[in-house]
This record gives sequence, C-alpha cells and structure tokens, in this order.
Amino acid sequence: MKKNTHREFTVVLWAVIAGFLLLTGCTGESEEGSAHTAADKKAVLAFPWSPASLDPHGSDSWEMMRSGTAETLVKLNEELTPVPWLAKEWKQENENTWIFQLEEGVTFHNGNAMDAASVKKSLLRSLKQGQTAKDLLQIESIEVLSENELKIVTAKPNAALIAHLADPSTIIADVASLEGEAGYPAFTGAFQIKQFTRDESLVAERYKDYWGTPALLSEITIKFIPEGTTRLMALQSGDVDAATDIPIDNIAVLEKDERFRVLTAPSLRTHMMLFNLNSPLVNNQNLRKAIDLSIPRAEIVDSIMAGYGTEAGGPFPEVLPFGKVEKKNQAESVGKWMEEEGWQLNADGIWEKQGRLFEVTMLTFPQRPELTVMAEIIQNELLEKGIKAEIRQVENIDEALANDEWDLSMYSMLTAHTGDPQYFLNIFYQSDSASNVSHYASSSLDRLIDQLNQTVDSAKRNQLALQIQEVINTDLPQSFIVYPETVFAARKAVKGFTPHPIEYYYIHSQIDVNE
Amino acid sequence: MKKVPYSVDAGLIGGAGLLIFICLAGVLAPWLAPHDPLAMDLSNRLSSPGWTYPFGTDHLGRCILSRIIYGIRISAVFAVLVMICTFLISLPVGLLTGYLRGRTDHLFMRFIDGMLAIPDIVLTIAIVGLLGPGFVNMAIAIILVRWANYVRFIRSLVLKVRKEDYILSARMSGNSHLRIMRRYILPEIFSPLAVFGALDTGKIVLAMAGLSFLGLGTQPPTPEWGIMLHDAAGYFQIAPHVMVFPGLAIMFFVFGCQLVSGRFSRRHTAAVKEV
Repeated sequence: MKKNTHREFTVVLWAVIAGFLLLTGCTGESEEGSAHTAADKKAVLAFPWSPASLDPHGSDSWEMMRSGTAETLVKLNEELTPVPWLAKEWKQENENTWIFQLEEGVTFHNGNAMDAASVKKSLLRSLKQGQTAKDLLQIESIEVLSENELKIVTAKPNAALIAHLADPSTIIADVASLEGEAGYPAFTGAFQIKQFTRDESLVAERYKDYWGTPALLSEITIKFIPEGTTRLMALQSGDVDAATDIPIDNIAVLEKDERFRVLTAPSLRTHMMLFNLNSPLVNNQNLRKAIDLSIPRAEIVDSIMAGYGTEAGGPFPEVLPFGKVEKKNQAESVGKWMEEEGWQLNADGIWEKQGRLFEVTMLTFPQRPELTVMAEIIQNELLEKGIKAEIRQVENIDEALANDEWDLSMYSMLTAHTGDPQYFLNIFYQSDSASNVSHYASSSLDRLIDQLNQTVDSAKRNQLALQIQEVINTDLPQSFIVYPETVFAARKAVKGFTPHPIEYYYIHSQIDVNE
Repeated sequence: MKKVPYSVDAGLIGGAGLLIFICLAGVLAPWLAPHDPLAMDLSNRLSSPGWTYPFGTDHLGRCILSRIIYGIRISAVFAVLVMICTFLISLPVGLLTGYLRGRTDHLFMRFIDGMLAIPDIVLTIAIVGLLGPGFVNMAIAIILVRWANYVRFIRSLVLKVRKEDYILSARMSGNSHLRIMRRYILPEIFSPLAVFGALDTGKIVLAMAGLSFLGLGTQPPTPEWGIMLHDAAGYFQIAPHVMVFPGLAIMFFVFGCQLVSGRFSRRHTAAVKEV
C-alpha cells in the first residue's frame, strides 16, 4: 500500500515537472516564433519618460506624440521645414487667414472619419485644455468650409503658425474618444494604443486602416525606464531592442559589443541651470552672474560629455541661424559681483551677509544622468568660489519646480523643436506663461517677444530672436551649459530607429526588425 | 566535554579587531586619507587603482580610498547614533510593556504586530518618500521602522526575567516598580541587548547604504558608502573598481559586527535571535 502511494507520488511529480518544462518550452518558442514571422514583427523600445495620462492636449502631449500613435496637421522634416501631414496643403489668404486642405480618407483609430469638423473640434479642445496651444496658435476662429477644407483665422498676424501646427499640443484626436471613460484615445497614427500602464509601458499595435504607408511592425512596446543605466542593461540583456538617452560614459561598452549600434546626432536640446527668481537669494542679477561665472562649461564638455556636445552660450544651439549669440564678457570675477552686493567671505571661505550664509538648494533628477553629475561639478566649483549648494535629487522635476522650495535647478529643454525660436521664447519667458519655471518677468522682453510673434520676414525674425537672447543673457534667468548630442542604441537588426532632431518623431511606420 | 569558557576566541578577536581598525581609520581620516575626499579632477576620471590613487578614482576624479576612509565617519558613526536613538525609544516602551503587561502591553503589541507585518525596507522607503530624501530624514525613517523590533525583543527578555524569584522577593521587600526595573531587570537584560545591538549596527549600515543607493539617503558630495555605490552604478561596466571598493568596505564592517555579536551570544545563556 505504502509502496503504491510512493509510486503514485513519483508519477505525479514527473508529470508536473514534464508539464512545467513543456509549458516554459512553449512560451519560449512562441515568443521567438513571433519575432521571425514577417507579418507579426514586434519591437520593444526603452524611453525615459512615461506620460501621466493619455490626454494629448495636456502636459503629456509630447509623450503621446513620441508613442507614434498621434499626428498633427503639419510635420517638420530633418531640416526643420514644415511639410504636409494631416493637412495636404495650405495657403495664406491674408495676414490672419489660412485655408487648409485636409488629407482625404483618414480615419481615427475608432473607425470614425477625420474631416474638417472633427479637426476643428480637436483644435478647439487643445486650445481649451492647455495654455501652450493657445500661445502658439493665437487662433481667433476656425471655420469648416467643406468636408476637407478648414479656415483658420488668427487674432493677430502669426508668422510661425504653420511650424507651430507641428507642435504636439495640437495633436488631432477624435474628441469623443477623449471624453468617454472607456477605451483609449483615438488618433490617426500608424500605430494605435493597445495597452497603457503608467510608469511601466505602452503597447501600440499596427492600425490596419492607416491612411499612409502601413507600419512594418505589428506591435511596438515602449517601456518607461527612467534610469539611464537600467535602460542600458535592458538593452544588453535583450529585454528591449533599442533605447534612447544612453549614458555617455557607457557608449564605449556598446561600441565594443557587435550586437549593437550606437547612433549619435546633434540635437536641438540645451542643458541648463534654472534660477528661481522668486528665491530671495538668486533674484539678484549680480548674484546670478557670480553663479554663472562658476560653471566650468569647457571642462563639462570635455569630461562628462566626452565631446558629445558643445558649450552653450544661449538657449539655441549654434547650428541654428538664430543661435549665434555673442559671448558675454568673461573677464569679471565672482568676488567682484558678491562684494558689490555687500557679501563678505567669512573665515570658512563662504560668502556671508548679515550673519546669513550664501547657501542654495539645487535640484536635479535621475532621468538625464549627466545632469546630476553636472550638478556635482557645479556644486564643487561653487564651493571653491565660496557658495554652498545642497543638491536634492527629485523624481519628478516639473512637480518639484512648481511646488518645492529651490534656488537652482538642473534642467533640459528641446529649445527649437519647431525649427523656430518663437515657441521656446513664448513659453519660457512670457511673464504669464505657465512654463516660465524661473518666474522671470520683464515687460520689455514680453514686448520683444510679441514683436517677434508678429514679424513675418525670416531675417528680421532671426535678428529679433538674437536681440531677445542678448536680453536673456544679461538678465540671466538661466545659465545655459551645454548643447548635448542625442545618443541612441539599438540592436543591429532594428532598422529605421534613428535620432531625428525632433525628439518625438522617433517612432514611425517604417521602423523594422530584420533578424 | 564542555568547552572551557573564556578561552581565546578567534572570531571575537577578529571581529573586534576589524571594528577597532575601521573606527581608528575613521578617527585618523585626515592623516590616513591620501587625498581630499571632495577634490575633483575631471581630467582623471574613473582611473584604475595605482600608486597615486590606491583604489582608483570615481566618475568625478575623486580618490576612492580617501572617500571610503572619510565615509567611515558617516556610515559607522551614523549607524551607532541611530542605534542609540532607537534604544532611547524602545527601552522604556519594552520595559514598561513587558513588566506591567495588561492593557497597555496589549495595545502596543497589536500596534507593533501591524508595523512588523509590513516589510522593513518598504516601510522605510515610504517614510523617506514622505519626508523627502536626506541624511536626517533617512535616520528618522530607520529609527521609526526599527524601534518596533527592539521593543519586541526587549519585552520578551523582560517577560522572562520578571517571573524570577528574586524579582518577587525584591517586590516583597518593598522595592518600587521603577527601582526593580532599574536595579534588577535592566542589568539582567543588558548583555543580550548589547549582542542584538552589535548585530543590528551592521544591518543599519546596510539599510543606510540601500537607501542612499536608491537616491533617498545622503546627498552628494558627502562621502558615504551607500551613495558611493549609487554613483558607481552607472559606471560598473567600464570601471568596476568604483563599485567594488565601497562594497567591500560595507562588507567588512557588517562582517565585523556579525563576528562580535555571534561570539558574544554564545557566551550568554539568553538565546539571541532576530525577533
């Protein structure tokens, strides 16, 4: 009897083990198999940022655009010139009026047709939801002329209207799909959202009825991995096929590994340090100058950027026609500015005024690893010059900038993502802009920016943009540090995933995986 | 054959020696460290161990050996301070609940049961998350999480002692409760507590390193072992030594604490194990 039970047990045990092996074998096979069948190719990408929600007309519009599911009326090509996208063509009737011909036969992911009426609804929603679209477009009215014809009238002449219609805040979506609780938003892109888990992943599958060239991949999964090294390791372990924003020091590791390809390209991004003009310590211009002088830009480019970047002298990279601002006079010393404001070096070598030490809080965040290292270098330089800085690392920098107490903060902006200076200058410097994170307010600069918004001639616009930057470099609401290069890495089998100067066009229908 | 007590104990001597060596190095840091632990040299980043920099340099060109030596002052001293603070909270609570029993004891124990149901590290991270990252907040979080363990342990020791005949006789001779706790119970439970404390000091160093590694503890440029590991994480593929040496420092300190407490506990009849 006892023997029998024993034998039964052994049989069951073996059955369980065999079943388990079979099961793991199956899953492994099915996963691998899917990568090989042509119609069913998938790719997994690692991005640093996760959208908080899927609303295309809020603060997450960039992330939605990055997912390859959404489109705008106009697109920017690699030379940053506006080209047709959902709008087939456009013409300007007079200073304030534009007529747009929409692409025909476009459907949203829920099957509804995209026509002039739905585009109008979508644009009106983006104007209502966010300040960005309002600032960019300055629209007075939108009128449906026919099924595929739309008239846009701006409140005042807006020279950059076409370029600004490429901004993600103007994503065209089926408004009805955004208002219901159920289901995912319906856009018009080559991929449609299949599944989204905040801070984890977004799965997008091929949209069968896409109006353009259908996507080569049947599915793209974006994994949100904020930490640079973790992204790198996910790539090395095979968890992801490609990753963006690879920590620069690790480029060498990937270059040695023949499975991967490292792609670098100049970006339109600027790493900078923000000053909080609401903070009593740094609202003084001379003190900001003292801090600015302490930033060792050349050393930063040579060491931690390993040459993958250039020293920054203003908000826009020098490759742009409006990016060559004259360098400031560097002859002054920190001591001169500090003494002018009545600060004195105490026995410990720290600046002191009426018993108060010059101590500042500097924020930084992990998603761009080089910024934290930069913060440490700046902290060290500042200390040598008699300024104490306490570094605080925060997970969500934009939340911290809005809610916490801070003096300095590391930051990074894609400053010329519409190929035009107007957008960045408007959102970053207009006194009433919600994105004016430094709380900088200057009525004369507001006037200059308004003037830029109304100027049509491009040479004059560039001239105005340079003039504005000179004011910025004098008032110094930020210190611009470096123009970094974009660093991507992908398995060699991945094709078409390249660093476009516009960061949110990374995913497109022509990405492919060829094993 | 019973082992002769108080024989020369290699483990104890080794452990104590290791700890004394580490503490001395911390005290003598300014004389022992070959470089300024904060001095950066960006032209000499991530260099391998050599004559000038025995343990190499980190991602900002700082001397790793000097940072480890100065790190003793933070990691080890901090661990001991946290320990003392935890005892200051848990000793009175443990003594009172164990000695007086009754409703207070019941209430405290259920509360502590609830706390212990949540994993240590999760609770610590949650508390630091609420308070915000930083050295002091990390200390507060570790104390808030660990005190419950200590109360449990102290109470169990007190429960055992309070039934002893000499406590009853002391009570009968008219000693006050306070005096009994101070004169008779505290000395009796002191040595197992010391063992527990020594063992836990190592664990605090580990907890602290863990939090700093997650970016929640010490903030740059403080030379602390955990934050050194955290900083090194981005470079371990190109310069593994940046991570290895701080890791070894933590290992040796914890090992020293383990050896001392392990040998100590065998000397005493009270079984010391983690509660």
